[in-house]
Amino acid sequence: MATDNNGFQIVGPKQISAPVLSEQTKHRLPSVSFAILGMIVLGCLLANVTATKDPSYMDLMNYTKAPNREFLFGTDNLGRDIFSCIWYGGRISLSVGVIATVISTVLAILYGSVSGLASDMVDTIMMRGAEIVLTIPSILLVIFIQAVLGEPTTLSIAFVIGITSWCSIAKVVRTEVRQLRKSEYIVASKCMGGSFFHILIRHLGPNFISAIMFMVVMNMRSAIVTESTLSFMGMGLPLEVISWGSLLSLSDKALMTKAWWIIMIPGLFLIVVLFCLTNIGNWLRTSVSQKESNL
Amino acid sequence: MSENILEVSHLTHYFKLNKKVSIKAVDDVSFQVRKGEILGIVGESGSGKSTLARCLMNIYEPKSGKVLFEGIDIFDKKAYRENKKFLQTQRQIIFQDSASSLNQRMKAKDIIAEPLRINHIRTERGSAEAEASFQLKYVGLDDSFLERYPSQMSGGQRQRIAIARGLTTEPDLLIADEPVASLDVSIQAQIINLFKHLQEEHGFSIVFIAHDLSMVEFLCDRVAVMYHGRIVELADTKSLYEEPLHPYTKDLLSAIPIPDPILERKKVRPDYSKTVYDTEGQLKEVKRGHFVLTKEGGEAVENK
Repeated sequence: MATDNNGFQIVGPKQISAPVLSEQTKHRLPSVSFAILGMIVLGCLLANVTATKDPSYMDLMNYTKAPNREFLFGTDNLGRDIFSCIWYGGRISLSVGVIATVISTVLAILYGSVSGLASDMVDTIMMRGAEIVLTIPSILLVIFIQAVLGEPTTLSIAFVIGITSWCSIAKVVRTEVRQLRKSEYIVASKCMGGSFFHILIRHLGPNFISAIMFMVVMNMRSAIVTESTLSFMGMGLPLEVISWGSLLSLSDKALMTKAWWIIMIPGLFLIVVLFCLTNIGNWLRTSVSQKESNL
Repeated sequence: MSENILEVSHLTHYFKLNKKVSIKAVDDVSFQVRKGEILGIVGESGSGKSTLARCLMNIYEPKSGKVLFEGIDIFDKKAYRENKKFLQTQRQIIFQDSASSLNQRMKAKDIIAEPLRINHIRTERGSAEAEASFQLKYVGLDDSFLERYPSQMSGGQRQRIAIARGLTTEPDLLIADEPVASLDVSIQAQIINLFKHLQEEHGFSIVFIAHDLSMVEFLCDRVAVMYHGRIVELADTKSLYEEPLHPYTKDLLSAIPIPDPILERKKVRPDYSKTVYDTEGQLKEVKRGHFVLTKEGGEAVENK
């Protein structure tokens, strides 16, 4: 210790100050993304307060109006107030994202852990099955299943997106479980009589959740995109159900009338939400991998 | 003679490498564990000690042989199913590496209470947390460890947690698979003393697997020596250490370092690497309670 005993000098290993983390390695919380996303989510949840007009009311006197005092974001060519539509539509878009993600994550965790804990042959069959599903373009699969289910509603769209987007997460879960299953604490837990769900919830889950967190957030993003794509193509939610996608589906007419706000404003909201989700996902990924490298 | 808690007869387990090659990890092993005794199993690396332990815990399904635990045939599917809860609570295993036998993402209290939660056991101490705190005291740790994660503890403390987890269901048989091999010497002594103390207090049986011979001599009542998957000698500790009969046991015992540098340097060591010992024959009782692997009709096997 370098106290004030003069005449003595420290030889050998010198005291090393704690390494200073540079800005790049710190992985700061993406507070701006969180704030923007939080504001948008809050605005959608409190849509009856934030929205100034009834979103489904078609004001035939004021259709295709540019943004102004009364119609903050303008009106579309059916005379609906876009500002109000954004908040109400966000409810649908975001809930499709959340519900689809919950469905696909639960499916992926179950499928992946069953496959990971099963014998080699069952595992191979299950994984090849998942790969076959993965090779079919998901949008095609969604359209197909939706056609079987009939008239699309918010829930059915979320369900269909959910059950078509679990494969890649399941593969990651399976790989993690495969590594973990020989761990002695899992062997010990089995000896004590731990059931499949006990081991999944107590031992496997906490250990692989960080590996899939990034993918889960990205899944929410792609679910919102898929819903918008479907609605834009006219195969998703019907026009009278307002979502960001169905708002965008009016854009072909909007382009012809040079009404930029009809396409730009819902598109901007969509992109901002996706950007925030990507940011948060990236932060989760880097902070998790950093935590592990600190071990 | 007290009653046997565990009876192993002709247990054999092979590991298949491919279609043609398989390794005999445990080969025709028979022994008994009496109630309340500590049986040591020693042998070199790869002699099948851990495989034997895992067979006893139903982790591996052996190729042939029978294991009776309190009279229950543990490899008989029907008997196993009928006595599942009994088997799962009355046999417990402690592994070598405490770092990998404890889940890094669980707190000590959850690790210790895990067997209780799985088997839905209500203890007289009420909550699972009270039980965890009690067991912690039992293995010599205080309540401040309840909230800690395995990564916040030292190796010896972690091994104590693993022992506490094994003890929560108050088992009749504890299988300790090299529980001290990954610890340093002073901690080893602590853990061994802990085992001895716990055994005296609870009166359960322990199958203690180790490769440290002096530790086994200190702790165990009887010792089995394993070599290439077979038990070559099984005897009371005193009898085995005083007059080893099988050549492998003799060589193994001669490898115990003497805590005197002058004597230790003078010692002539046999060349182990080239010696191949015979693993043919059957265990024969040479003296009372002293079994040695003997060839058919012959005396104790000679060194080839």
